[in-house]
Amino acid sequence: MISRLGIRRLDGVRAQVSAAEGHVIDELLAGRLGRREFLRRATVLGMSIPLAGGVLAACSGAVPGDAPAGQAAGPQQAGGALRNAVNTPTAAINPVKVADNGGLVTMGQTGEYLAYTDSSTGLRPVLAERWAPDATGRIWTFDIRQGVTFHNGAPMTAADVAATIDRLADPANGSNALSVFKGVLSKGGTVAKGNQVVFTLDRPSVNFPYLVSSQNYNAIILPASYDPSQYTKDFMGTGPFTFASYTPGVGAAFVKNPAYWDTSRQPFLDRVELKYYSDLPPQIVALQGNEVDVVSGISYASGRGLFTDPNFTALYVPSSYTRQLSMRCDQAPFTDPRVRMALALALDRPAALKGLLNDKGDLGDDSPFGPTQPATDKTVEQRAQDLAKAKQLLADAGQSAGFDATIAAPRVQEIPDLAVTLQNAAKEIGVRLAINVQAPNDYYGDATFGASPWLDSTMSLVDYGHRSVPDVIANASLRSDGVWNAAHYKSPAYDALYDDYTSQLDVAKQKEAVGKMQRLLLADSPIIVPYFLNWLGATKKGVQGVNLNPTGQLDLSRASTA
Amino acid sequence: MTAAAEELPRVADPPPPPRRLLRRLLRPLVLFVTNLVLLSALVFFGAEVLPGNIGRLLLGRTADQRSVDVLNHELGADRPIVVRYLSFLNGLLHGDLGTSLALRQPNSQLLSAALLNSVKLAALAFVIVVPLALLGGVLAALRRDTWVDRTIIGVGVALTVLPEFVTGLILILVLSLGLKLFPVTAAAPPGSGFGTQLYYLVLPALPLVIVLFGYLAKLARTGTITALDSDYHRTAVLKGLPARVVVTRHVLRNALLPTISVLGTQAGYLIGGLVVVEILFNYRGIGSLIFMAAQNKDIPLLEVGVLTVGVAYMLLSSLSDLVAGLLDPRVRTR
Repeated sequence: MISRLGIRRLDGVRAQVSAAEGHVIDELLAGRLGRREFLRRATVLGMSIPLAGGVLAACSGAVPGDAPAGQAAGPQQAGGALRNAVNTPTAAINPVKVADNGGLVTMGQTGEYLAYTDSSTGLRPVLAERWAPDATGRIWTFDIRQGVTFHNGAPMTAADVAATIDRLADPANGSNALSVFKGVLSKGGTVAKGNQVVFTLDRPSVNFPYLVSSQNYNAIILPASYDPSQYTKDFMGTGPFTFASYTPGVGAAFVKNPAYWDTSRQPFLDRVELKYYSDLPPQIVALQGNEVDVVSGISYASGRGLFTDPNFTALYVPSSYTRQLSMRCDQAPFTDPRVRMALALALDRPAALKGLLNDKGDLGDDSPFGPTQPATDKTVEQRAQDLAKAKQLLADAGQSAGFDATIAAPRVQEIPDLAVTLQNAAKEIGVRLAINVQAPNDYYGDATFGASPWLDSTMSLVDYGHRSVPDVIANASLRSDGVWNAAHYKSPAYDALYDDYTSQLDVAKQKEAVGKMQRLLLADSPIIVPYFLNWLGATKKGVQGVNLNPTGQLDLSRASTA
Repeated sequence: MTAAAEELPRVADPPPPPRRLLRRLLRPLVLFVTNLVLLSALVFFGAEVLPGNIGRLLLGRTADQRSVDVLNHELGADRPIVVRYLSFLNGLLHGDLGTSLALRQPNSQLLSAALLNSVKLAALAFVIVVPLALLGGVLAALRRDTWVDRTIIGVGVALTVLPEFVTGLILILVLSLGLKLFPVTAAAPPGSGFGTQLYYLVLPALPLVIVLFGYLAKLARTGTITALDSDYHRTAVLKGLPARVVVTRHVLRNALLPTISVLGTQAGYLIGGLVVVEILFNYRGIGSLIFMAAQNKDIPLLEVGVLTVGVAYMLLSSLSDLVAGLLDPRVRTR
């Protein structure tokens, strides 16, 4: 029940927001959006966090939202240096091309985005103060924050923002963000107008702000005339830390930026040190041996010892980081959806989640739509193990004697163990699966059809990194023309629903389209998605404010030493 | 000819005529260059069969194909392999080791830093293991078939079969995390002095010592036993020479020859083959540099890395031959 004061406040808020934002408020009031989902949806449409907080407060009289990941548990001490274990960047760090975790963690210490994808509140405005779409969702206008300077003292302007994003959208630059912008934003679609940047999209996209946020890790804002190939000489940016030193393959150091623009988020640390490691186990040992204070992006199997040790603080962030088993819909026996569904029903997902990840994740429901993503329809039934039904489906498909097939899988984290779990599950219904585990480079090959065991095998397992919104994975891995469609799934119905989803600005309609896609995928079962993993890390006891981001970033702007 | 006659020191051969001397000097040089050219071709063309292309490997499997094509073009990786190989050789002949495609740094810089690190680690391991193994082998031979012999050789050989990552992890768990005697990494903080660097390298050197000790000790034992069973040893004893003199002057000089021959190749392994130890102790040596280059299909860096290790192998083998020649006149006159 909303109080009279609350109603008056909401009326005041409604007068300030767009029609799309009004829809989100209606969804919240109708109980179809939770608090966290409301924050995510509201911020993506450009509603400021204080305003969204005001809506929640009006509804409940309480301060909104969960504590952000990395929020300090007590008073934090200023000063000191924090030592972080980071994967060795595999290539020269160039913001336009960077594609590896070590590179994006390093860049993230000095660079900033238009918005930061926060694990709990959605999009936090950073270099853009606010944004809004037009009525069609095809034109987005971002108000660029004024008074921000680059580390060389030059002011950061809308022209810099436009140049940065246009550079990424230009195919001639070979940007790693091209796959993110594909079909949404092209070269020339970004224009600076005064203190605003206007994006004219190739098609409507309600989730566009995510594509220019930290979710798109290449989108660090740089000066318009900057040469990104020279980035490691100064690590230019606007962030809370400035460049101190960088030795390829060894590490990097950054110091507090005394002129940082955000007075409410001044860093506690004097210095951030990144130490590069070429493998995960030495990072764990380094934390245990007091060589570093923080490890991030670790697997449960390798970090198991840290999670129960009282000398360390474990960090878990729910994410859409997942595994996907594709069954080729164009190759027997998987041409029959009953066969695919039988295998999906044979898997005991809770047992797999417990056994492989000690419950550090969420159950998957055989679609790329994860529980952390705002458009996921949580009313869709959760698929559960049903061996009797699975055997019946096999019998109906004329496969009561079972069949032989091979799962191809990369040697990545727990994926080989997941393949064994799937093999054992299949055995329960008489299906005999062999396993072919390969080194990742062999397995992914050229990542194109005809030159990749991942995309060409009859059954293949793959890992997909976290995405705040499902657009890229739902498109590339399942649409008929998807470039990662390892299942070779061709469904005009799915394609139409996907197009419907991406063109909707209205939350309810978007969720409705996603719900239909989820149900369609359950019926067709081209893929098995057993779980979504938590993004994991650990710190030395007493270290506070480390903000892990499942995209891979390590936000230390509010971190402090033990 | 009797065995005793074979082992007696021979009168030195007359000096070879100048032509023969020139041939003797040139032959290894020609072999050396031929080996390097063959090695470079093998690595360059062999690396082509590695899966993927550098653009795809650096940008990841989810990158747009247009981005991959642009990067491959920027790096010159889309040129025919023969053109790339000839361009690499041309650079090499002009003293240019090229640039790493992935790291965009001169290969000479990357290599010199990594090589220096590898040499430091290898040298320390060598300094520890060679005297220990020789001492152990000789002691085992002198106490042949006693518990001393069985313990030294038995334990040494048993430890040899343990992979470095197993011994390395055990040493880290016990000596670093447990007893806190050593740091868990081999990389000393920047600007550290010689003593600190040495301290950081002790733990990573120990798995190498463990792997090599049994093998070298067994070789030393076998050589010593052969020498002890020889007629010249019996003659020396019968002459009434003190045991210490017999062992140091007559036994060791002959006993250690096989071991010294092997040390050259082992030193080569210590410089270029320590990928596991380097990764485990987060040490940037030449082994992990080559491994990273192979993973990224960074062929110029892979090529110069392998060639450097090849040169190290050849030089160290030649050095061990030289030392063996100094100790044994038979080798010199062969």
